[in-house]
Formats: sequence, C-alpha cells, structure tokens
Amino acid sequence: MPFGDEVAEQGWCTGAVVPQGMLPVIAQHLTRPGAAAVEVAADHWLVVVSQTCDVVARTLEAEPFVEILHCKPIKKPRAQYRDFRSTRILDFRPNRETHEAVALSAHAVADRYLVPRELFRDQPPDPDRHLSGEAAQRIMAWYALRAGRPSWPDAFVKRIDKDTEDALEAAIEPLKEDIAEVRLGIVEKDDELGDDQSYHVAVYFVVDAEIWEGDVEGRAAINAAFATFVSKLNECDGIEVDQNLSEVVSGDEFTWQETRATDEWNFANLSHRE
Amino acid sequence: MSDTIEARFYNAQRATLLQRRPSTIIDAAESSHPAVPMQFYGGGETHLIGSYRMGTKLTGARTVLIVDTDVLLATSAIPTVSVEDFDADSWSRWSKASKEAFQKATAAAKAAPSAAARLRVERLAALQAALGLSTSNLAQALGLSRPGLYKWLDASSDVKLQGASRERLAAVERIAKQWRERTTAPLSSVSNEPLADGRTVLSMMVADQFDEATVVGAFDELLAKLAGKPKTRSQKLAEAGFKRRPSAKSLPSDE
Repeated sequence: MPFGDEVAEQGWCTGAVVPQGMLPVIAQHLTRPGAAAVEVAADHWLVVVSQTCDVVARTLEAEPFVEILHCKPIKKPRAQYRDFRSTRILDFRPNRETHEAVALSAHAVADRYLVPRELFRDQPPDPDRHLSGEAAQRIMAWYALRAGRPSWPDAFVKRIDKDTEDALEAAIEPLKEDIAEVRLGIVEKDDELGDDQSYHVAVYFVVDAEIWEGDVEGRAAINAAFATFVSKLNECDGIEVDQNLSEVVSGDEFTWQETRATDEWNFANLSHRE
Repeated sequence: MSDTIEARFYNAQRATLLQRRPSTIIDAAESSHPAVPMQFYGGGETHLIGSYRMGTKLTGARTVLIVDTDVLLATSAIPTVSVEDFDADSWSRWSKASKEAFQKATAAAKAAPSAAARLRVERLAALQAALGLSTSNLAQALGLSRPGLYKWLDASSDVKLQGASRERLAAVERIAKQWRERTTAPLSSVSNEPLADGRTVLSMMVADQFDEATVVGAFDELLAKLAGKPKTRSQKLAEAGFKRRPSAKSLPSDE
C-alpha cells in the first residue's frame, strides 16, 4: 500500500487533532532552535493545518512533513484577533457542535511546527476532537490571507485611525453576506509618502452579478455602504478618494484588468501596524 | 456606595458657585454647546465631576459618576477615582482627561450625521439601486457635478437641497419607483438601448430638462428589450452548474 494511503487510512486530514498519546513521539519536533520543548497541556489542540492532499501525498518524499498548529484555549475569541482581523494571531472556535464552549488561539508562525509525516502512519488522530469544516476552512483562509495580502505602505495605514477603521468596518457590515467585494486601488501603493503628500485611491464595490440584476434591496444596501465608506475614507488626512473613478459596479463588468490594478479591502491589510 | 450622589445638576453658569470648579470643562462647555456640569457629594465635600449635554449621547463626560468605592457608570475615556484617592493630583489628572473626553465627545456630536443627511443618503442609495447608473450618469440625471453628487452622498456633509435640485431628485425618484415596480433589474441594463425614436432613456434623463412621462412611457419598450437581452457569461456559467466559491468572508463570525 502506498505510504499516503496508510496515512489516509488512519484518518489524517486537515483539521485532525494529534491525540495526547502521540505527544511523546512528536514532542521533540515541537521546539524552536535553542529553546526548550513546548509544553502541550491536555486542553491544548495540536491541529493539522497542511492541506489534506499533502497529508496523504502518495510518497513520503513528496511531502516529508505535516504542518501542526499549536492552539491554546482562551475564554472567548477576542475582537482584534477573530474573523481575519489579524494575520498574525487567530482566535477561533474549533467546533461549535462538539465543543461549543471552546475557543482557541494561535500565532500563525510562532505556534506552527513541522512534524515528520512518517509519524502519522501508525496512529489515528484524536477521535474526540477535530476541527469543524468551517473552522478548518477559516484556518486555511487565514494562512492564505497572510501570504496573499497586499503590503500597503505604513504611511497609508497610519492615516486610517482606529475610529475610522471601526466606522469603515461598520459601513461594510451589510457586505458580509458575500454580496459584494470592496476593492481599493492606491496610486502610490509602493511609496511611503511624507505628511505633506496625499495617497490617491479609487474605491470599487464590486457587486455579485445576481444581486446586481435581481435584488434591489441588496443593491440599495450596497450603495448606502459605498457612500458611507467613501466619505469616511475621504475624511482621513492625507487620503484622497478619486471621485471620478470610484464606483459601485456589477461583477459582470469589473474586468480582469481592473482586478489586477486593485486590492481587495481587508482589515487584515491594516493589521501589520499591530 | 457609601456617600451620597446628589441628583442635582447645575448649568455652566451656576457651576461657578462651586468651590471646586474644573474651569477647563466649563470653558469647553460654554464655548461649544450648553452643557450641564454634574456634581456629587462625597467625602464630606461637594465635587464637580463632569458635564453632559441633555438629549445627546456624549459618551465622554456624561457617564461619569464617582462614588466612594464603586463606580456606577464610567467610560473608558475617563479615569475613575475613588474618594479616598481624590487628592489634588488625581483631580488634576481627572480634570484633564475629562476635558479631552468632553472635547472629543463634542466634536463627535458635531460630526454625527443629521437625520436629514442620513435620509438623503438612503434616498440616493435606493435611487441608485433601482437605476444602477454610473456615478457620472446619476449626477447628470440629478443635474449635479460628480463631486456634487459625492457631497450629497456624504452623510456628514450638510447639504441643503434647493428648490430645483429637490424637484429634480423627486422626479428621478418617481421614475425609479416606476421602474422598480416593473422589474428588479437596474434600469442601466437597458438605459443605453436605442428606442424607436432613436433616443435612449439615458439621454432623456441626463438632459437639462426631461419629460417624466416620456421616460416612463418608454418603459414597456425597454422591458421588451430587457427580456430579449442575451445572457451574460456569468449567467451562462451559473445555468451550466458552475457556481462561484463562497469567500471566507461568508463564514459565520466567531464572535
């Protein structure tokens, strides 16, 4: 039987949790160079965050390691770390069905370890703990966001103060239903400007084509959100919203070229100032 | 709570009667809006501890009450001080923080959009939802410049709709309402389609003067054109079973 099939047969996949019984075997891999081994308490979750296809890759040589995230319990997800607000720390609920009251927290890099994959061939994951599909999707999206977020200039980010950030977030609350995406173009996206210079931005609310064609109420909510978002952003000292370009536009009309010239607005894009 | 909180409030002028008046707060109150300093009796003395505005939400100074050991209502903006520690230094610190909070709250109250401004933005959003016009075209339809429309869309902007503007907005709203009663698709889907007389409905609407009845009268023809429009690529994809992936944003919040 190929190596990957043996691992798969044990039940390892994204979101599986390392059982307590495996700790002695993998403890030596939960270390940092020059640092003592990490302590893993019984209520900590060691979660597999490699993609399932990598966890069960056919040959060991193809994928020699499994990525493990060491998650520690917290009282409840904190506002600044939940729902992709930070690309450094994620607070999340691992499984609302099986562990309703449990909330966990992990640092994207400091709590991530590489464990040799051969150690997963002989033992199954924890039978009582595993991430829900949503939680697993959240962690993968979090890592993708961390790697893929645009690097906006510090001088730009600093011009959006906390109050404005909160106001912007409140403005786009209606968009959480995935009915539209906020995209931002910044002319000086690679430049750290001085206080006497302004960043010039264009804002697009790209609306799902079905909503655009068939949901008047949805469009009204999006247009109201756009108005608030643009006026709040324009109030920031040193940020000028280009009112000739900014638009609410159907997803059927927003082109690939325009996508490449803009970044998706995400509050995680502002989080590097933490 | 071991001391008495007096439910008596003094206006700024009368506050001068108090021996421990924090002049900074009073000055700020008098220079901006009528504010009501609040006093309490504790530790054997009367203290002026803050000010607030009637009928508005001033989250700074308004919600502060200091009592002997308990804090009834406090904001994060203002440090709370127990009476035991209520010495001159802490009063000075507290007074400074109160002033800052007061000024911030006053500024926020000033910047908060009025009900009329919010209504204006909602009307425009509803209008845009029905028409789906570009910002430029909507601005033209309303007889505005593009920056002028953005000003209308800014709830913090105190725009007074003048007679002609108000009438034009009302007329465009009536057209939008008529269109919306007929279809959920935005008018922009067919606003550039030539009508039988060669004109487009967009050209009618952006003209300096437009005839509302003529525009509405064109709707049946436009609806026929809408029904005959070829499917978009995304519609064809959806019909063939290709659905877009939900984004991570659609995951339920972990709040």
